[in-house]
Amino acid sequence: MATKFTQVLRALPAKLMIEGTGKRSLETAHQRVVIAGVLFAVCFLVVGMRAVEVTMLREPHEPKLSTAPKSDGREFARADIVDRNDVLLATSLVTASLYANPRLLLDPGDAAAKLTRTLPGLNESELRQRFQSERSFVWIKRNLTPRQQYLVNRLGIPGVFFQREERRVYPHGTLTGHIVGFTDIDNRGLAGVEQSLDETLRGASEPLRLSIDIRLQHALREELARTVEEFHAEGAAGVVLDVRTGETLAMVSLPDFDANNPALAPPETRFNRATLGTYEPGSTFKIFTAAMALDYGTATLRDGYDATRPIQVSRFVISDYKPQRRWLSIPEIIQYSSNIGAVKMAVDVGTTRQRQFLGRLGLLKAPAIELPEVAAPLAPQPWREINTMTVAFGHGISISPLQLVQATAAVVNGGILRPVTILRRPDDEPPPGERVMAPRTSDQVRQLMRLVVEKGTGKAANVPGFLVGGKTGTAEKNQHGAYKKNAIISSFVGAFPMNDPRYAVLVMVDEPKGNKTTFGYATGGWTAAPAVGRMVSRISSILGVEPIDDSLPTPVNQLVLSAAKR
Amino acid sequence: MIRLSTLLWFGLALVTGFGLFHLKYEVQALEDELVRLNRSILAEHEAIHVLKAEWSYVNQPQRLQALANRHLDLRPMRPEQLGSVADIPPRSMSEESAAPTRKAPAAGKNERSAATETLQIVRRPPLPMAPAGQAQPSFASHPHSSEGRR
Repeated sequence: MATKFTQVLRALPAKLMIEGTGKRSLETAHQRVVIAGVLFAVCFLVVGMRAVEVTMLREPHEPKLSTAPKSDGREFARADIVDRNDVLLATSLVTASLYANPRLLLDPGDAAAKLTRTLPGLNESELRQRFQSERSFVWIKRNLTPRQQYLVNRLGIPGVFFQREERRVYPHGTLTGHIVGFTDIDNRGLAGVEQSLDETLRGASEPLRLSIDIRLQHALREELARTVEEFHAEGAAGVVLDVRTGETLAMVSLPDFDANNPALAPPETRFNRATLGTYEPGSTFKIFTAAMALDYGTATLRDGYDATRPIQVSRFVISDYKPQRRWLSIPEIIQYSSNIGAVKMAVDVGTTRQRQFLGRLGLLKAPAIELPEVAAPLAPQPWREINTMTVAFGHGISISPLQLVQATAAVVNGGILRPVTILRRPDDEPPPGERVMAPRTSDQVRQLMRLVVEKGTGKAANVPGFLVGGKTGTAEKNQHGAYKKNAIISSFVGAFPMNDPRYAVLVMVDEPKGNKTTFGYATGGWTAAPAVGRMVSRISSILGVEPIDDSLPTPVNQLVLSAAKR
Repeated sequence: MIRLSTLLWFGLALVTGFGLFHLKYEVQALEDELVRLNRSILAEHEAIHVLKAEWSYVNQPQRLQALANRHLDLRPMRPEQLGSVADIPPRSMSEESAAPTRKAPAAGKNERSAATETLQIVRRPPLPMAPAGQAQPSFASHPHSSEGRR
């Protein structure tokens, strides 16, 4: 239109002049036409540029269609739990749950009857009552099996629907029950890692990796079960710890339960003896008494104490289990597990320093493991000299087996307390730790522990080639402040190989009874030590520990020999 | 003239319309395909998930152990069965001691056990766990090793 108008203007004779209002209105019209033309040109330019941008310049990704189900991202609301070698320990599986909308049910009575016939565990009259309510949502049964789902579908009842749900399953059920724990029907953690790391598991898409090795876990459980059966014990607990990182490689408490069916398990089976139980450790505590005396310098390996006569303190008499009735060197005190010697060692160190030392070893506070079932130790309050004496040989103080093995790991690994953990530590960062004693002390106590296994009370734990070292312990069972007659807790805590310790192993047996093969004895050396020995020979090849020829005079052996000579 | 251009434009519009129509259906078919694929991917994911759980379940150590005990002759490895490369005798020595067995394949039992005995002594010092006369933890005397089969 604009062009036509200009043509008309041009066609006019040049000399023809339009004057007055006609000219002005023509000029206005011309201006308007130009403005409109420019506006249109701009608009088309914008549209054209946008078209070029959209078709040629934009990245070639289309916005996702709302109708398309997404195939990426997380499909499950709760992350898996795996062991240190990525073996699945806990996962979520999709199940169907059955619910009804009573308003849509045509015949509630008939529906209730049909469903009760198809699904086990339903109460017909109760179901009918619920179907007659005014609500629009009634659960019928949660987590159906695929077969049950098929059967319900075949009934074809209108008003009955399925809801997609997730259910936690534990492929290794009983083996990891105490560690992994379990959840309730709405997938909220109720025990174990499922409870303590509930928040982490909800948010994460990556599986949570534990420090547990399922192969060691199995070996430990089997050896403990064998020990329990052999000695008709009430229960047992065992821990395998990596002394360099503080990672728990295996932790078993017997009796145990199937995490897939926690409701069916008797309450006592859900009790984790390794972390929640506190027990008087008995003679295993002498490791720490010796380490304390050697570290403070109140005694050296060449010193000794007179163990001829029992010690009388007010109304208590402290005597030895197998009295030697003579002067004993420090190595001999540990080798024969002399209470008298240990008491004298501790008295020389003093009450305050004993308390400090045991505190540094983490024996006076609950361990920082990522489990909800953790007990705080029972320490003497107030700590008098009589307590110093009894604590020296592991009585009058109750600690959990996990604390015992954590402190033992610190003693043998060169003197650094590594906080015990159930989670896999990253390989590329050094594990946290705090020096609690001189490396020299650790060397010396390791010799003493090796001596116990080579010549002392723990001979049954010896495995040729792996330089097992440790300490036996037997304590009378203390229940509600009184010692139970003929009920003992036998234990053995050790580490291997003693020249350069890698792993600490603890076995604790609750109320073992002696039998013919042990000549009626049920002490730590007869019950727990053989289990540790079997464990070491079984797991060393899994852990890749190379056997050494221990008939050759290695530095450790030489020192043991020189220590034993006295 | 006018009719020709009109015809041309009409034809073009028809072609464009048909092209658009065709494209739309093609895109719709592709979208349906995408939905179907995504659904099947989801289904596969879930199936993999279930299979993983099952794999872990059938690999329970106690089950594997029971199966191994029933079907295999393998036994847990004992420490004395392990050696290091440094324990292996020099090449010439092993050839000398193994020579009689090779030359006389029908050699008597005594002779061969004598040969393995020498190997044993060279390999390691006397073994505390396996007294002489019992099953020797040596590779040479193992029935499945090449030496035994010959």
